[in-house]
Amino acid sequence: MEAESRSDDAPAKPFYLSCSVCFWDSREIGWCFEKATGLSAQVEALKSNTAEKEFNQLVEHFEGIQKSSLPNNHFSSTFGSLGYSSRSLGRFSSFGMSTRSQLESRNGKQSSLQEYHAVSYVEDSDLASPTPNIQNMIPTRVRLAMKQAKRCRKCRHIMIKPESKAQTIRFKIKLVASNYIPKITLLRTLSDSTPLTTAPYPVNEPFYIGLRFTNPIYTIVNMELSTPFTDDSNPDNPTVDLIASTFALPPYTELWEYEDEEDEDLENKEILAKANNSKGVVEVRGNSVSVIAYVVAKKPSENMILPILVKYNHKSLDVDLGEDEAGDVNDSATSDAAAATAANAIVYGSFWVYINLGRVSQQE
Amino acid sequence: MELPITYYKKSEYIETDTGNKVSRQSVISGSQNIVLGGKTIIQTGSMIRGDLRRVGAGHHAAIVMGRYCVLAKRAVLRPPYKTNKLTFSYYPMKIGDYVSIGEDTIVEAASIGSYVRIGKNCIIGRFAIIKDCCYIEDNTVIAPNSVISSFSIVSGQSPAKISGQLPEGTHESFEAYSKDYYSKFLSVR
Repeated sequence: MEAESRSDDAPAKPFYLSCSVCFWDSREIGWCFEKATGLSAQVEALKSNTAEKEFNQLVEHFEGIQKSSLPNNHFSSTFGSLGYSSRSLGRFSSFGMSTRSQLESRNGKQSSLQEYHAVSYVEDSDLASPTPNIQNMIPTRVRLAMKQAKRCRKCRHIMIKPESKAQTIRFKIKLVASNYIPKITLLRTLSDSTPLTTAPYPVNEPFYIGLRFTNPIYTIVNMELSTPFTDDSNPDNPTVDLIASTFALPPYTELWEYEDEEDEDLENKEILAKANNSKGVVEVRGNSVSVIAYVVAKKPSENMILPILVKYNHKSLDVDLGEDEAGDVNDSATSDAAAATAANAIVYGSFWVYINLGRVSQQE
Repeated sequence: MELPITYYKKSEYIETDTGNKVSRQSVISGSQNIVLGGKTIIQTGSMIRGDLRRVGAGHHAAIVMGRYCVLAKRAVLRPPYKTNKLTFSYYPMKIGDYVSIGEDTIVEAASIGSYVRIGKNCIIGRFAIIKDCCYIEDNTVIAPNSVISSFSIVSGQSPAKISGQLPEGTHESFEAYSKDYYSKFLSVR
């Protein structure tokens, strides 16, 4: 920080401290003075005046060269008659225009043409320049952003087709997985008394986590969860006990359809009640089901990742959707295209979900 | 991860008819030039400068915010300024719907589209234009006059670069996030 006093337009207390680098000044914290503090003079004295030193050094260096070259300068006599002062020509010849013959004639005095070594050269340019890393700020090419249509790799069905207008973010066709596969969220609290742990999690101590599965489609979705086998070969992986490995998600219902119950709804209720009688299913609300899992972390880490294989099946909504979904979900997604053509066909799908639980730390 | 429920003291915030929640401890200067679309949350310690003048008598640079926006703690919204033909002037700022601005972030953008999430500790330079559906990561510094195209993920400092692309379903998830945040921003007496 550099300090100097400067006069201000305001007449009452015209002096304040300001920094010439960051433009901060002391008025911000209410420091104004009637008289100059004299601080700037003190700071000035503290600063080593490098530029001046350098200049003096340069003058000394070139004077030395000049002195040594002047007496036996060939040009001085010839050009001197043309009216140029010998002194100014001497400067020329010694600085840049020394010819080879000249140098040879002054064998013994070549040392005076030694390279100049700067006294105050600072390698670190970051300190001197207000904009550091200026070398890195060369103009870079910016990739042209463009709209892309996307197809399914398997069935070549168009999944994404944007509108051609540049300003809009709408799509003519948009088939995204989140509209067809259950959404999984990690719960913070549960309505019942099961205690849920949130990050940071303990090591080698079992705890419960809650997962909510939300159904985006209009039919019941049967779920089956499984976790990778943990044995001695991968002892660091957390062990997960899914208390409810199979359950069923109630269909998504539009708000206005809650009123009128139909026969189908009653039928669904029975199916759901049967599927969700496991102890691990802790909450069924609307189109979502919350389950709990029992986890033991093996070692402390910043991000504990929990892999879970999610398999699901449901009645086909219609032919198109069944196909789209299978292609879009994941590489491992499977669907029987032939079966999907039949009415009431069952659509199967599966995907891996990697849940990042967060920090696991050793607790004292 | 599910969003936590944020509780605030009833006396700390003022709720308007359109559902905007504005902290009493925030600095709202020149409120007649600030438009909040509704269900927007202005949190404690944040600042909106609607009092900065445009060239011409009686003009102010307006700040327009859309619906379901969040201005987190200590964030600053300040209209951009420039000197054009030797006259210094502030210019209006426009922010779309479902925009959340993180803690300690300073925004001097000319316009921000809808469905934009800006992280904590960011600086959005003067006259930056952020289009719809963008995600600005924490600690990002966006250079003045830069234009961020739709579906971009931006990160880094001096200056920030586009580090990725958002998927097509982003606006649904950002919209759901903003609505969820608003519904979980509850008062206690």
